[in-house]
Order: sequence, then C-alpha cells, then structure tokens
Amino acid sequence: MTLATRFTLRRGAFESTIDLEVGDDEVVAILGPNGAGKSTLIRVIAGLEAVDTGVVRIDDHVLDDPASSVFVDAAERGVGVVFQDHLLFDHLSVEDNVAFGLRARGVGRRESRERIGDVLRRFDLLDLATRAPRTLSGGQSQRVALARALVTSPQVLLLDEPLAALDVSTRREVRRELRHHLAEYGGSTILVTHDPLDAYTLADRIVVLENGTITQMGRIDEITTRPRTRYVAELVGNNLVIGSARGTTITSDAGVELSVADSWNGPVLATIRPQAVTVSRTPDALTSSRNSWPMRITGFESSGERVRVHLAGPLDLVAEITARAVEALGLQIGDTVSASVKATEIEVYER
Amino acid sequence: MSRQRGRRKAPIAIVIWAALAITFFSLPFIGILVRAPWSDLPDVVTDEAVRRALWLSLRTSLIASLFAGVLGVPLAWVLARIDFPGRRVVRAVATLSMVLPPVVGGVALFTSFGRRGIFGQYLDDWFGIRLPFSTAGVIVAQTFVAMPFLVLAVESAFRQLDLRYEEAAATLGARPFFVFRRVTLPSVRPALVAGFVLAWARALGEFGATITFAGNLPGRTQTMPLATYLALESQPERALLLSLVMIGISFAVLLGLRERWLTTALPEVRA
Repeated sequence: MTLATRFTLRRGAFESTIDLEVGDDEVVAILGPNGAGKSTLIRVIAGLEAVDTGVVRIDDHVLDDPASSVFVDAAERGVGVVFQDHLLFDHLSVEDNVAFGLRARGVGRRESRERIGDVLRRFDLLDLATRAPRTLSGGQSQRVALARALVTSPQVLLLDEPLAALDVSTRREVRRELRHHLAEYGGSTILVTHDPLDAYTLADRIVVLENGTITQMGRIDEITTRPRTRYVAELVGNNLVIGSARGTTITSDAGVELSVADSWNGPVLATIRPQAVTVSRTPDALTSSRNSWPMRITGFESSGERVRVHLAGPLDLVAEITARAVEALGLQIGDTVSASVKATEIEVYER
Repeated sequence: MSRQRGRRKAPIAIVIWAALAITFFSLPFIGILVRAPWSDLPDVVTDEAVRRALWLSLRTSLIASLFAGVLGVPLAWVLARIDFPGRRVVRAVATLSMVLPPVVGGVALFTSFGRRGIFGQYLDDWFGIRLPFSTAGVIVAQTFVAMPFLVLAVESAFRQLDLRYEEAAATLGARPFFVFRRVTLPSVRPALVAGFVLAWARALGEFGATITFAGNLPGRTQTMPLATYLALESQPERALLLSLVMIGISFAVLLGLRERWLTTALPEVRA
C-alpha cells in the first residue's frame, strides 16, 4: 500500500507544490521551518484542505483529484491524525475518546467498549480509562490521541508535531514510546516535526520542506552528510558551501575560492564539518591547510566540553573546538581570528 | 488582614456602586415581603384557581423553552456558521421579538395566527388547529418572545468554538451530524443551559403577548402573571401573595442553578 500525493495548493500568497510517496510500513518525517507548509500537507492528506491541482491517493483509491471532481471527505478517508495539541474531547472520558472512531462508524456502545480493551492495554491506558482528558499529563494525553487515531486501523497515520506540546523532560520518554508504537503500526506514517532529533529517532526517511516545496529527501545519513540547502546544513550542524568547481578549486556563490582534494567540474555543493575547522589567533603561512581566511567571531554555543564558534567572513562557518582551546586562545565575540580548513576535509558533491 | 497581603485591592468606589445596585434590586422585594398578608398564604396556595394558574405557568414555560431549544439551536448554528447573504436581516428578525413590546408581539401573532388571521384561518380549515384562547396559544406566545434569548447565547458560543475539534472528529470518521451531536453540542453545553434558563425565565414572566394572543381564560390561558395582574384590581392582598409565590419559585431556581451555568455562558476559548 502506498500513499501518493502530487499536488499544488494556493492559499493567498502561500503556494505549496508537493510530490511525495510513502510506502507501506514506512515512517517519513517532514522536517521544515515554521510556515513551510508542513501542516498544510497533513491537512491535504487528511481531507481538511482541498488541492488546487494534482492528485492524492492511497494505491488506486483516489482521495482528491480536482481534474475528475473527486474529493473524499475526511470522515471517509481512513486516515488517522494525531494533532499538535492532541485535541482530545474534554467532555468525554479517555475511553470514550478512544472509542470515538468506532462510535462514529456506528459501532454500539457496548461493542466499542469491548473492542477498545486491547488498545487501552497496548497504550497503557487501562488505569486512565475513566479520567477526563484535562487531568492528564502531556505524555498521557499524547498516548490517548495516538490510541484514538489508531483504534480504527487507518491505512495512513499522520502525526502533526506530536511531541511539540511536551516539556523537555518528558519528551525523551514519550519519543521512545512513540517509536515503539510506530514500529507496531503497519501502515504508512507521516510525522511532521521541526526537531531533527524526532526525525532521526522515529523516521526511516526524511523529507525537508521549505517555502512550500520539498528541498531535500532521503535517508538520514544522506541528509546529514549531503545537505542540499543552508537550512538543512544548519539543522544537521554542518557547514555548506554552494558554488561551482573547476579542477581542484571551488568558487562559492559569494566569490570565495576553496581548494579541494579531488577534481570536479560544474555546479557543486561542499560540506565542511565544524570539527575540521581550525581556529588560530594569527594567520600562519606555514600550514598544510590550503584554505585560510580572516574571520570575526559572532557567537558561541557550548555543549559540554565542546564549543561551537560562529564565524563571519568571506564565508560563514561554524567551528567546533574544545572549551579549553577557547580559554587558551582567549576567544571573545568580536575578535578577529584566522580559520583554516584542509583541502582533504572538504566533502564535495554534485549540486 | 494578613490574608489579603499581596492580593489586588478592590477599588472601593466600584464596591459602593455595586452595593447601591443590589439595594435597588432588593427594596421592591422587601416591600412585598413586609406588606404581604402572610397569614393568608396557606389559603392562597391551596386555592384551586391559584394552583391551576401556577401549574399552567410552569407547564407552558417549560414546554416553550424546550421549543425554543429545539428550534433555536439549529437557527443559532446556521447564524454562527453559514455565511449567506442577508444573514444580518435574518438575525434581526430572529431577535426582534426580544426588543418589541410584548403586546406588539401579541398583536402580530393574533393578526397572523388568529382565527381570521392570514395563516390562522388555514390552520383552522385544514388541520382544525385554533391557537387563540388555547393553552397551545400560550406556548406559542411564550416561545415567540423567549427564543431570542437562547439563540443569542448559543450562537455566540458556536462562534467561539475551536473548529479544530470538529476537524479531529471528522478525521476519526464522524460525519457532519455526528460531529454536531457528539462534539459541537456538548462543547456549548454551558451556553445551552444558560440560554435555556434565560428563555424559561422570559416565558415564565410572559404577560403582554399572552393576554393579547391567548386571552385570559382560567385553567386554559390564565398564567400566574395574568392572574396576579387581574387580582391586583379586585383583591390586592391576593396579588401580593401570588407575587410572593412567583418570587419564591424564581429565587429557588436561580439559587439551585450552578453558578457557572450563568456566569460561563460562553465556553472557554481553547487556544
């Protein structure tokens, strides 16, 4: 079973064009900044928003196709959704929330109670069955929302920022639970998030959405080692140079020349790992590094023993060095330093 | 005074003003309580005519507010949710009877649904229904004046609902009417209760439209307000006691209502 979406949708100044397929038993994470159209994609697949052109279908079953005037209502789609704030019904108990989908399909009260028993057990909700949703913790309410969406065995499951409503301390635990439940679920899953960690731990494949379009799509290692846009590079903590190559020299869009180890021709992308950037106080002519630029320090970000130094100059770089090095060199915001990278540390790939 | 430390102080001028308002409300009731011939109360309460008027009042006002709910909730939903040309006019018509002098409402009802009224004659000819001077006419008059209160309360609640809950219900397989019944309606319950109580109160106190449209027939159309007013002309003492009975019932209902039903007519807006 495959979910296929290929559409264009316009809402005022915003336009989104998407071409995406999600296979059986696959979890695809949609990663992107705010306003990129992530929630719009969810709403299109769920049937809460109609496309302007294109097709949305599950296998051969067309859900939305303006060309042939087909639009299947949300209620008929068999697509489960977990919304950002979970949107549990406050006037219903936890078990009635979970049973809602069955009741909506005409299953009697008693039969639906019986049928949700197994779901309540799997999601560890038996003790909470009679509670009111507003009395639940964030993690508990997320479990209820997930159980409610899965109780009717939808072919497609959509998760819109499922962990965003949680505080940091419970997030890891809930993420682990979610991973377990997604592994059990056999359908196609789309997970919208702006947290790369969610994508790494939960998804098989990552789709990056920026300004309404997919800018990169691939497995996690491809995304991290070969980012295609600055947003992705920043997200995975890598430096990206966009330019064109002639031989062993790359000229960036801003006109900076970099020496690389292998010969290339044409438009290329290049990554420089922050750990590969050396920071020194004085420009040193006698170094094996082929690339050296004067840079101004614009900021520090520390994580444990390591410090990420943000540098602005001919090209913007992030260098990752040890806290001791920062101290030894007496680095401060506004200082001018020399940043150098060995040609062999620059990873070049086709644009 | 340590208990109040850190609390925001109430502006004294507003409290005095509020006390003035509640005094204004209380004085008329104190007047009745003082002047009422209490020793005659048991006789009046057990009086057959009074019991019939009271029973008629309770019955008709409850049925009228039920009608107001059954007809008013869909109307409120349409006004809140469907954007159609002339919506403002429809809303004005729906609430007109709230603003009109009730007597005018009664005259309008009589001209339309009276036995010679432009619609009333067909009701009589085709179905044998005669509203004027009947208990059904009392209920029609009360529904006519009471429904706007419910419509306004419920419409504003419908407007403030977070539509995403209805979307969530739809993705769970709920069709529009199921969504309405199981999600939308329960979410506006406080407004529904408040609207129902307001409508009931208005129906219970109805006088002008009732006497104009349905007349003043003891046991059929003579409700408590009518009985009280007529008693005032011949037996003022009795009118006081009848008023006392009405005050007692209304006060008991208001006390019995959970406060939140009246104060949270609007559901909390969910972010």
